[in-house]
Amino acid sequence: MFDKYIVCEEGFRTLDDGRTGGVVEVRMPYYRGLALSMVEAVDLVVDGRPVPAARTTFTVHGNTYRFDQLPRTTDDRWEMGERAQLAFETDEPLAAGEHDVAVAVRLRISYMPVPGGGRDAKRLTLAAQEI
Amino acid sequence: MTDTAPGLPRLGTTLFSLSLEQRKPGRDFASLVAEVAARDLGPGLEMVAFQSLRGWPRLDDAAVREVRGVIESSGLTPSCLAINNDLGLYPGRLLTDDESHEYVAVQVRGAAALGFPVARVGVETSPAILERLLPLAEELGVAVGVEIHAPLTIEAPPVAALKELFVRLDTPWLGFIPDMSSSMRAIPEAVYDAHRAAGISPELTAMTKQLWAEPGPTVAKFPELERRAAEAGASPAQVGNLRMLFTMHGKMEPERWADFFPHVVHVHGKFYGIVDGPDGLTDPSIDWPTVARVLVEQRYTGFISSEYEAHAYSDRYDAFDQVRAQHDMLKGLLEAQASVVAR
Repeated sequence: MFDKYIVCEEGFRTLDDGRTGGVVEVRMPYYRGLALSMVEAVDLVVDGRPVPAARTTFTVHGNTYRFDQLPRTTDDRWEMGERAQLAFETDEPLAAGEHDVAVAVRLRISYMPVPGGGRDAKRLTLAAQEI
Repeated sequence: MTDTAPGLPRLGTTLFSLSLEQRKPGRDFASLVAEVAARDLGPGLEMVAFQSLRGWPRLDDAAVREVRGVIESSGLTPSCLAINNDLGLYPGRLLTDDESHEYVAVQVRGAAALGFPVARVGVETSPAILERLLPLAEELGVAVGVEIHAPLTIEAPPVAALKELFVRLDTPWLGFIPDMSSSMRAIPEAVYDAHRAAGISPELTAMTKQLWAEPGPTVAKFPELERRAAEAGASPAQVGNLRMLFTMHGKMEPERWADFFPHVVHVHGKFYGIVDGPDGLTDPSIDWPTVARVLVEQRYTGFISSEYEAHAYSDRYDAFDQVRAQHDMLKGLLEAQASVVAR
């Protein structure tokens, strides 16, 4: 039942650092927190277009990581229920209004016979930009 | 507090039952523990460290004081802390024995600091690691219990190895934590909700439930399940969901829990739904009258943590109400058994 909570309905916004792209907030599809080294992938598809992992970053409680840093990050954790920020770059600025956002999370949980994780897709409305 | 009569198993709740409740906005650890107490779902309190305790296992003194304060002010009694041995912490390899031992030992110390008498691990914590943990467990006064969860049963090789270890060491500081997922009499109805969401037809779910219920070991039925599911047009992902039912719900005879004694340090009252039927509160998928009889006959006086897990399949039911119903049912069954056994 955790899958439908992965993509947060609030907090979808454009990047505020001058780059084009956005931020979608995501939650762990598991009953407990896991070290970031066990987060194998958080795949993002925006409006049907996959965003390469190299163009995304992952932020938990203020700490930002590139996805190629996660495998060796054993001392920080994505907590259960915590809203992580998945920031992504796009070639073109995101248009105002609605976007289809799909997220698939892959987790490495040693005692489970199958790969862990989950997927969720929602139509999100871009938050109004502050000027 | 609803407590059972002296000399009987005691009731309690694990916050894992409230996994979905914990996702609600504004819900925090302190309010959750307070509500468990206010709804009289103690006296035992269990939690999953990596679920309920941010920053675990490195809690500073202030955090430890805060958690202890929340539990003390609730009036609940710490029963068990579920800890994890993340063998897959590093990509591409499992933890070495030294790393695994250290990963668990730090958490056993944390359990002691928080006042828990039992720390729960899974079978991925090997007998060799458990034996190495014994001096620490003894020194801290924290029993380390290995959860026996579906698909494990008394016949599983890792369980036999644990039994041999516990008999050889004969210590109160290491033992089993029976989880009723291993001894079910039916697959719970709540799975229909999850399967509907996954696009699996009720007919396919019913076929799986029926095949599960037929005689014979569950593992031997996987090929038959896959054949029938493929014939019905199930996708590989859907077949995965159906297979999960065989993995998550074990068919051991509940009487066999007697064979785990006297090395039982805690009990997981796993359940997937209590219904109010013509004969009062009953559990269609777990034979609680037999479980209650075994626990009373074995003179078990530890805690049974109510562990509601249908939230994995459905959010249709209120977890607080479900735990309440299970407590009412168990209290009646345990006290009725006590008079039978005493005769």
